[in-house]
Amino acid sequence: MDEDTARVGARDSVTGRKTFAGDFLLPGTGHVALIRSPYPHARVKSIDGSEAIAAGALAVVTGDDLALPTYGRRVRDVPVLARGVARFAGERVAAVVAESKELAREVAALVRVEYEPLEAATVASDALVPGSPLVHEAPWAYPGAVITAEDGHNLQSSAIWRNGPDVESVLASSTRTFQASYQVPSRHQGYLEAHVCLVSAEPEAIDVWASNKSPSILREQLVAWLESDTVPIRIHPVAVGGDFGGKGSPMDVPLCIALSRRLGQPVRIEASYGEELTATNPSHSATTCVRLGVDDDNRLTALDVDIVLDGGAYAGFKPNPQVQLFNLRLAGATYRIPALQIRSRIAYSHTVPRGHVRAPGAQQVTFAVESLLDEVARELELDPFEFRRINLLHTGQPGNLGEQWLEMRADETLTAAQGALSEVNPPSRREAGEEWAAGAGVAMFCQQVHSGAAEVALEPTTEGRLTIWVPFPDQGGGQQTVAERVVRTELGIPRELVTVRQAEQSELKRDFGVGASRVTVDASEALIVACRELRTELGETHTQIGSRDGRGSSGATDRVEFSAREWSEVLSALALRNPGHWFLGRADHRDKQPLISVCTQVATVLVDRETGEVIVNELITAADVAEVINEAGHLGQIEGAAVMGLGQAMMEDLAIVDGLVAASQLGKYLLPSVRDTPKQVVVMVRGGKGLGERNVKPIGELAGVAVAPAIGNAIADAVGARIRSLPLTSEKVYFAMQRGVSGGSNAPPAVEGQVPGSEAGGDGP
Amino acid sequence: MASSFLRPSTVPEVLEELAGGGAHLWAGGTATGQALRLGAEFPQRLVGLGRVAALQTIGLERHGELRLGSMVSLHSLATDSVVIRHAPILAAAAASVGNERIRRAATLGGHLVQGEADFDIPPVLLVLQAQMRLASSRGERTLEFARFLLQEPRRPDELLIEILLPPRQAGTVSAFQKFNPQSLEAPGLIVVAGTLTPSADGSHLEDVRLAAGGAGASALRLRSTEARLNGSRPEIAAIREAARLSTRDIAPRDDLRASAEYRREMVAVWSRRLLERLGSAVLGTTREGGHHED
Amino acid sequence: MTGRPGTALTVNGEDVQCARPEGQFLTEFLRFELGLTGTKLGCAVGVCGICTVLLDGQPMSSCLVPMITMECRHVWTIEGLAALAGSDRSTGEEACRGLIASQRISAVFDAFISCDAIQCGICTPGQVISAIAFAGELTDADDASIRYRMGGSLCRCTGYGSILRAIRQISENGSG
Repeated sequence: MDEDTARVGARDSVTGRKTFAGDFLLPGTGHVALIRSPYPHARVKSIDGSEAIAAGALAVVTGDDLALPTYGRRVRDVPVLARGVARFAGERVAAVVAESKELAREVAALVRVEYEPLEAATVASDALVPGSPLVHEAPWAYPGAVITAEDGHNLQSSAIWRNGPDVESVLASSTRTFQASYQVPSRHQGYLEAHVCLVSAEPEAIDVWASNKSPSILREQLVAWLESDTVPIRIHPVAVGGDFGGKGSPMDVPLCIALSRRLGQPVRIEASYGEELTATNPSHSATTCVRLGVDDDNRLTALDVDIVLDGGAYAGFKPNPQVQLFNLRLAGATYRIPALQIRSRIAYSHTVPRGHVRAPGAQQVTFAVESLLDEVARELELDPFEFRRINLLHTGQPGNLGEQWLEMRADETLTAAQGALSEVNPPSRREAGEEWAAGAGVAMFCQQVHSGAAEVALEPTTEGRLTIWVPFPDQGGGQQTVAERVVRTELGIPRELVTVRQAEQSELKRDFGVGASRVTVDASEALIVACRELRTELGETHTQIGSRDGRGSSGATDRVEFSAREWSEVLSALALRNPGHWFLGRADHRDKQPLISVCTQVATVLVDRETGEVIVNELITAADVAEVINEAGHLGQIEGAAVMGLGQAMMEDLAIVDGLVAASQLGKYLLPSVRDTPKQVVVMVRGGKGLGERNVKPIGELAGVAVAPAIGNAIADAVGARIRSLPLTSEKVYFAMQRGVSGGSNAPPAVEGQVPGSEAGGDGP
Repeated sequence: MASSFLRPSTVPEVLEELAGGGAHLWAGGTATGQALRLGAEFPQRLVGLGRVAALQTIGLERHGELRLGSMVSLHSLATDSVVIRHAPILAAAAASVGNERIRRAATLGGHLVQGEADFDIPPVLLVLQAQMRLASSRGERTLEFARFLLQEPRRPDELLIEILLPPRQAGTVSAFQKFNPQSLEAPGLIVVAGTLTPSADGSHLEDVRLAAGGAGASALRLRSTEARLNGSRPEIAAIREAARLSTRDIAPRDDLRASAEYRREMVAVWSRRLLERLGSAVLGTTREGGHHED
Repeated sequence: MTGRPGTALTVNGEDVQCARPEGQFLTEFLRFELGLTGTKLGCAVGVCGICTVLLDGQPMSSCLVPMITMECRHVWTIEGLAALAGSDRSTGEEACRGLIASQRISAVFDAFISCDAIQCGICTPGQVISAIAFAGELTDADDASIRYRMGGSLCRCTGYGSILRAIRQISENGSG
């Protein structure tokens, strides 16, 4: 076994020593059970906690008791506890604190809440229609809101991205046009660590342990909510048990702070998994209407995407300033499309608030666009690979929204995926059985690398070791491993002398979170800078210790090669000379030329003609990579993302019906198990241009997005059934085959011919 | 909420606890554990059955009757060589329940008294014509599983002692099929189980039994198909014809995972496939009176 | 049935007492009262597997086990198994029915590390225990039976590729 290549903290992980937020308790901690609204929309008429208090509750606290401002990642519209009205089934209405978790749960059942159920708007498209029940009386009045009183009914935000000639006129003059509508339901991130937080709020400091991926952003969010920066907030470093976009909000931390202050003791809130599924921040469900135009040469002329997303009861779980899902902009971005228009409206509704799930927005829009492209290819009697190939965007061509991409490796990944498919032998009819029909499907996705900035530090210790301080937690993406790998490579330092630690957020400020896989890019660059700083210092000092080859006296650019013993001496000497000194490294890629990475996904399936059952045989993932720092970790990111895509394609659906999440437990909400995964073929398409000296591209969000349309396209290839809604259940496939036409929930067949513009509106700011 | 957990080691001791009323039996504890976790109130008196050795045995009688203690785990059913040999479809059904941890803890008795419509084992016990032996301080009763399932479930003071499977008839072939297309870890959308027995001279089928789970409020026999096949020649055409009748006896429901309509169609498809498989086995083995395991 | 002093059980081979078993489950007892936080709490319905322990030698979802049922029972957690992996003891006859030798346990830990069968780490202890539970039967295990045995241990991060590689490695190293 080679522990030298193992990921950072591997032994702690397998032996259970790795510590997550839920693993901390303080003496005298109060445990919380939350009373949640059973109604999608209700007036909270009264809350009586007297019986619970009599039975031993330390406190029963309501929103009016606290009278605190709302909070949020950008729009601050989320109440700490509901005040007067509950806007979704699952909303926090009261908090019961007790000495133990068990007692809190028990006495919570004694709290009497009187509700007056109100008419609810539980579907986004209905909610946007004037006259439907309002979710918020004055949503524009919340801090961070991007809408005005004149904007649409129940609107969280709207956006339009367009470029080139007018889409309507281009569609009108195109040789052929096609349109169809696609549905993607709400899915949970599916991490297995439910949200948990422990807070000790003292007058002199607030200590926080929380399952949160971006400690310094959490701190900023809390400062904004507290409207005060006078009391230090210490976000303690903890590992995060899976994130996938879902752990960037304060979630229950503000409530935990309020309760800890009120009770004068530490307070802990641990969500059950049922609460995770029903009341945190799952993905936006979406209905996407897509229109495509094609010319005589089968080239795309125009793409119009009109997407309505359900944002749920609160907008406060979306982080970006426009309160939109930015990956929507990448609809069709792997292709050259002269006229492009993407319109997005996000609605408030009386359902669970929605947040980010791995590549937010990309899932919804890619399923729609890549499915329709496939339908068009079949209609034009073109091979789906060839139809895509003749329309690909190439390096040097401007993006559809005018972007000047550094490179565009669409053709490379498409070709690699096609090559891998040609090496797969489909099972013969005899092997599979008469009832099984085989098919293959392809879909593409490209993602803009959202670069950020990062600050890291290297600290020599008097024991002759080197601590790498990073500002981000280990949420599984392997970022700390990458950091260690970069430093070892840069300095040539033996592994046993290096420790990676998460700095408390107050020490390293420029953490932009581990989202969008940007850490690898930003932190590796920052680490190189820090290594250089250290080398500069070594250049001054090494002669006192003696370098192996006598070089390096002129400073940072020369390599100084030390043995382990020498390294230890050097580091110890540095630490003694300047105790506690940090060699800082910063990197800021925010003004760099935009980078895009491409993934082509191919799925091969067998479809049971008599039952609609779909067996995914192979998933081929051709991913555009630059330099790979950690091969095993990189492969694991691709495999994991593809299987998450498989889950979203085949089984995941929170099933929100009449405002209630029906898949309210794991087991009802299905996640792929090891029994459900196909053979995976990962092709790393090397040679891409990355960012920074280490020439790297992010990977985590890239590989899962195109899986669902690839499988949907493969099903269509096998049996001719087109499913336009996720998940691709056997039932949908069965009835689509029975009817001999395209399936999906009330989706009409792809209409060919000139079509009127889909209902306009939402041409927002 | 002081609650007690008693662990008697004999059946009479259990019955005595039950006679007092208010006792809740704790077998493998998986279903009760889930209910408690999800907020059900702890019963005042839990009576654990884990130490009652008499409930844990698997016994084969001389004339071929299989006696299965109610506390035999699903894992044991799935892996026990006697069960695999004498009731292969029971072993297969037990192996298809839940996951490794659940199978090791959950018991046959616990599985059967839960009575969920989509559980895997009830259709198997219907076609195997299992008998249930229950005891209370008032006495014992033994009844057909079908009757237990639909009309006379366990009474609060009763303990399910054992499940008896009649001797396997020579020449009988059996099959079990679980259909869970979304995830293999999910409960079945539908489950079908069946047996076919050729007459001694191989000229016709006798005692055809077919049952489905997930097709109604509980597992049920597909009587119309059975009636059509009984006495018919063991031919694939006849089997297909009979399978078309399989949906006459079912009353599936809509739920989160599938519509009633789809379940109905799937009962028809899987009944036909199961019977076809059994029919082929019968046609291939009638001369030797062999046994097809599925 | 009043005046019960509590529940006596063994955890990782040592006698322990649960003073207030009512209403408490094994997962919380291990985590909060014994500080054995390697056992995680996940779905709480026995589906995900991250709370897996060895209970009387068999893998079990600790989330489903009320402490009042734990009298005289034997629990091994990931911490105890990790300590065994470094020792030359077996897990002890009475605790684990002597099924698992310490070198087998070591092989599982090592394989998970060398195959990078880890990402966020929240499911990892449960995965490791599930693998340990059938490590004795692993020699030349086929792919389908590995998947069947591990089916109840969910992982959202890895997609299972690396976990399967780890278990195949243990399987191929066979008798070791």
